[in-house]
Amino acid sequence: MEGFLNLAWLAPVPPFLAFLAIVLFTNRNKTVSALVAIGGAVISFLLSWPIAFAAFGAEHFGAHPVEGQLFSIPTGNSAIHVGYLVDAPSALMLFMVSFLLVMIFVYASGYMTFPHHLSVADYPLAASQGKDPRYSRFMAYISLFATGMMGLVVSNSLITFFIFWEVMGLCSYLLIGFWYEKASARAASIKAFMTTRVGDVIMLIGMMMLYIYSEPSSLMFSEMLNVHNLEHLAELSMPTNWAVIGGLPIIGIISVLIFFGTIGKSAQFPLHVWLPDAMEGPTPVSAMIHAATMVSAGVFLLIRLYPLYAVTLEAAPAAMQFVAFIGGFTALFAATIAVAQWDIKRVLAYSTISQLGYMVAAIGIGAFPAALFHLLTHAFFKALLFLGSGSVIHGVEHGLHHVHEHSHGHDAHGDEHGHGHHAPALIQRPDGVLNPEDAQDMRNMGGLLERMPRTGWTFIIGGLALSGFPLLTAGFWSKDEILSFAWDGGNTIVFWTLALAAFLTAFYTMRQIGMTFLGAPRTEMAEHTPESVPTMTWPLLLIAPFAIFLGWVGIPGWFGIPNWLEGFLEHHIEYNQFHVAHPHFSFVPLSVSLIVALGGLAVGYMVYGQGLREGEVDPVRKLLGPIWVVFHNKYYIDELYQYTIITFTLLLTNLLYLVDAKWVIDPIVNAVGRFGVWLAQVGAAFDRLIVDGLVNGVAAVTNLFGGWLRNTQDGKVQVYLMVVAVSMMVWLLLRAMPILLTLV
Amino acid sequence: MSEIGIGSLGSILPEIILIVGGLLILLLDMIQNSTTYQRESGRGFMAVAVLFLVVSLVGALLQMLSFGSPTSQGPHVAAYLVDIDPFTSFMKMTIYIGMTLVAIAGGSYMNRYSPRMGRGEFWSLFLFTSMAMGMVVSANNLILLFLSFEFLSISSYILAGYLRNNVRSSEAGLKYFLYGSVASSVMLYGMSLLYGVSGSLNLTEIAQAMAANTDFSIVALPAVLMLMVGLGFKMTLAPFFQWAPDTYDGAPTPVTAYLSTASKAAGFAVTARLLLIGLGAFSVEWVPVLSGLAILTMTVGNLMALRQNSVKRMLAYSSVAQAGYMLMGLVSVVSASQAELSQIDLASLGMNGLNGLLIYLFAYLFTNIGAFMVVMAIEEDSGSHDISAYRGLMQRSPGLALAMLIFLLSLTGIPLTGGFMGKFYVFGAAVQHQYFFLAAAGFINAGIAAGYYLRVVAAMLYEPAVDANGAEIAPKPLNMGMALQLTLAICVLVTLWIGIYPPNFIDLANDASRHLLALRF
Repeated sequence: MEGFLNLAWLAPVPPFLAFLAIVLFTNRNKTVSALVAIGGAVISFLLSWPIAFAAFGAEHFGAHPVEGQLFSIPTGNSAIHVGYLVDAPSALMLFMVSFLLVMIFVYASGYMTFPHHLSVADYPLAASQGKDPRYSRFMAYISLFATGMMGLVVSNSLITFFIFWEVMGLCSYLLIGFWYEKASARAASIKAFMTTRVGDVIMLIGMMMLYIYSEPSSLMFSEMLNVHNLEHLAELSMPTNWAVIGGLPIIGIISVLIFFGTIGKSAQFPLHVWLPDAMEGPTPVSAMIHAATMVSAGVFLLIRLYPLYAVTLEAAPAAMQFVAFIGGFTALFAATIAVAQWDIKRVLAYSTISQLGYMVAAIGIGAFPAALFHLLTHAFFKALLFLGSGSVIHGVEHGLHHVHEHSHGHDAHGDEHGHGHHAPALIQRPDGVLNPEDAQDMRNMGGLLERMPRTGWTFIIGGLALSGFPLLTAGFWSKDEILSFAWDGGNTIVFWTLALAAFLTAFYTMRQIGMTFLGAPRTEMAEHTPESVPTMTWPLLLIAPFAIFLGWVGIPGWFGIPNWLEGFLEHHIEYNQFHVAHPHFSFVPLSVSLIVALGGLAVGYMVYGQGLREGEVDPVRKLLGPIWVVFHNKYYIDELYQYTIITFTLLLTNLLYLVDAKWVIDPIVNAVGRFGVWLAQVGAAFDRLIVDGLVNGVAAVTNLFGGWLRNTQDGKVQVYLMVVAVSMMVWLLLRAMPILLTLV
Repeated sequence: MSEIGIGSLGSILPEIILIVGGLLILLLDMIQNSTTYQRESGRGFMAVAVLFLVVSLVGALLQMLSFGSPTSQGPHVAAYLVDIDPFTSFMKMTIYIGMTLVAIAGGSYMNRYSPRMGRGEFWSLFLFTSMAMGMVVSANNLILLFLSFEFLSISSYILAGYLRNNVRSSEAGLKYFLYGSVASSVMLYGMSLLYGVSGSLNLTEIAQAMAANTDFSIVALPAVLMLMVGLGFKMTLAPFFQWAPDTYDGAPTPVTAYLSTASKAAGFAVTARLLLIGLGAFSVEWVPVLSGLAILTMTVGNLMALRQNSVKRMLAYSSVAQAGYMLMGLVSVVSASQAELSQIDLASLGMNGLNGLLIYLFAYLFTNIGAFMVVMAIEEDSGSHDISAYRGLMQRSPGLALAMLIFLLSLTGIPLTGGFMGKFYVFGAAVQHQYFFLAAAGFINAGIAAGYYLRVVAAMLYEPAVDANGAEIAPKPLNMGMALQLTLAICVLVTLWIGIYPPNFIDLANDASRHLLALRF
């Protein structure tokens, strides 16, 4: 089985081949494209799981990771090595990513029906097939996305890691803006791309510093993350005397700079703004970006580089406090926003940000296994929730469609899709503007559990896992472990912040379940919502067990069951020679996590247990008043950026435009240009009169000679012979002349 | 040296084959003549002629290959009078290829225009002419040289005036004859001077005698001048070229095609052999003469071609000018600075001038025959060789127009054509041997030449077709015979082949030139 691990580099290949095949060959046929994409993901899955389980089953696997070089690209004195690495974290990631990708691909093949914002007249063929006009392209993009994530997981150097990281960045841009007919989707894709770019650039600076200061200079994980190099980095301090960073060890600076990559990719405050907007993309994309792959990649970066962060924790605690602070703050901050959102996907988006904050905070306090554990469990239950929400939206859209067919179906227009063309009246409410035809607004739902039981129950399972429903669900164990670490490590502030966030998480999750699935339908379209197609519900049913049972691999040792995950990672930790504390059993974190989870769920059920009545304003809005409005408007962060950074940038742009086009540069260029034109005219005159005159003169003279010489050829052979005789005579005389002269 | 005997005649087997072929055709002609001449088309004679030409071409090729590379053997000598060496073989191969191509392509033209009586005569004479060229390039003896030279000239006079019913053809033949007989007699006088001082007719012996006594230099220049009259007539060097435009214009186009290529190549071969071997010791005397002739020839040829409206006549003048470039190669064999001469092993040079001349001749053969074949095709179609007949050729027959384009580009010396390789080696040799004035004159002339070559290109590609009155007409397709298409295809392919991948040809020419250069002094 060990040798089998050497095939890990093949894992990203099938999706990439699928991408090429779809782009080059099968793009005309939507069904075949979907099958190719799913086939690529399934082959990748069939490679990844045996690899993962071979790793799980191997004795002390963490102590002997499998690494191999594929090829290297020479760059002057050094070379970029491209290879693969399977160690404990990447085995766990392979297990999670490959499975979720297959589920998402299958789900996507059913989800990508003809979208409602498009007009049938423009795309008659796609509409008759009932599929998105760019269905094949979507399959190609998600295949490339899968390539990015699988490649990132098995990378053995930071360079290739970063390359795949950027492949995902590109794909997220393409996929968020996939329905580019919608202005909001276009804006969201650009926002996602730009925002993550900010993080990536800072991360790239960190990578360069890491490369420069490492001994030897390398970005290979195995060479870079060994104890000697890290201690070397910890001993160096910044060669500047700037106020903030002057005294810090280099390792702290590098850690923080690279951490910015995570901030961008995993949507941590203050670069979190792109993620909620990214919900404009099709829901499978949301599930993929926000659960299984891209945002996890940010945290996976921290896990991958944890040896670096472990040394930072001792050498430059301030840097790690920064990481913990960002994580904890984001966890709470995003949770409060999620409490006051109506869009079913946005709630989940903020929930994702909040949960990622948990993981980042866990890294910040040194809880490496807990962060990885939560990353895995969260990926499963968040994918479940996203796919479930997509199923709900899809169903409600069908309901809306159904309602429209019945109200408009027999009228004179005969235009079944008339709803695409008239804007429904918006309703102003104290708890936010309501579009009564918005299929994503939870206020338009209610009582869907009866209509779509599979979606409903799996969503509830996912929701309970997210809230950390005690003992049973995966979310409880992973969250509890983070809290234990925080308590045990004496990070009281982090502990209480995360506890509060956990309470809010349970609360808004219950609110979402209540608003969507419980109570009575609040609109006509909710009444006519059907269950989704099997390709969408089966992935839900298959993921749901993981949302529960996956947590059991990490049940703390004091429950009497051996903690498998801890054991698995122990060797990895030993191998990489860093230290992770073993939290001692304490009643405080256990009881707190029990209380916040159950308490949040209970409070949520009390308020939203029967949903809301039709037209009823959110009771929390009434309770919190203006604070709720602040939550609802996401702390006005978007507006803040709009009026500070963006406005400033635009002002600067305008100023530079004026400097460039009106005041300085262009006038100079134009003056130079005018001078050049004048010079050219002088040159042209010279050329025309003198050079051309010369050339034409030569040509004319040549021509003249030609004409003249031509007349010598008069056709009389006597003249020809005369010419011969004369030229002979002349030559002979010329030769004889000197001799004759000597005679004289 | 080998003895006089039947065995040594094996070296001139290709020429013997040609004589047999010529006699056979005469015989066949006599058999057919009395009863069937009304029906016979003359194609049979053409086929026999082509057959014999191909056989002797194969013979010449085998001879050339028998020397191997690098040359290991001395020349095969037949009857004291004939030297068969790599240089000879290369020239014979060139000439026979040219004659074969002309025979294949020119058959239908000759059969259409020649008088019904005695069509076999033409082909018989054609083979004799080929034989004469084969002999003239291999003769190492002044008498044989003169005899075969005269044989070549006389049979060419007849061929040029072969269309008895055509006044222009008769005029061409007559002028050629008058001019040629004068030139030959002057050359003979030059030869007698050489014999007088050296007491030998053998070129090698003449060279030894000349080298032994430097006082002979007083005779050398007059002898060279007189020889150059006869040879210059064959090579159409100015000022002995004036017969050429009239003859080329009036003679049947296939005859023009070989006169301007194969016959000229024979002239150059004889000149090279005479001057380099026989008069090598007096290069100081003949180099200025030849360089003056070269500059005069290319300038006059180009200037006169500039104003021609007849494409055939333009090509005639252009072939005069091309002879000027070729002569540059011959001049460049001898280094301009005498000091260098002793130090440099000429045979080892990449560009020794003579190989430039050979490459030039070889490439020029295909290019010029191809160009004349296009002229012939147009002439057969419209009866005219005025430039207006070429207008709109691109619409009428794209293949023919593209072939002509390639030939004209090759004549101009544009890279990727054979003409470029020839010019490159000739000019390169001139520069290497410090004949900068010669190279400069060549460059200026090449510029002038582009003017009249591209005029035809412009007419073919960009101007609409017109009728005799100059009114625009719809382009009508042009039909060509199979044989003509085949010849054109061969010419185009070889022209491009030499231009794009020349190593094979360059190796052949190097071997041939090194052999001759090794013999001198």
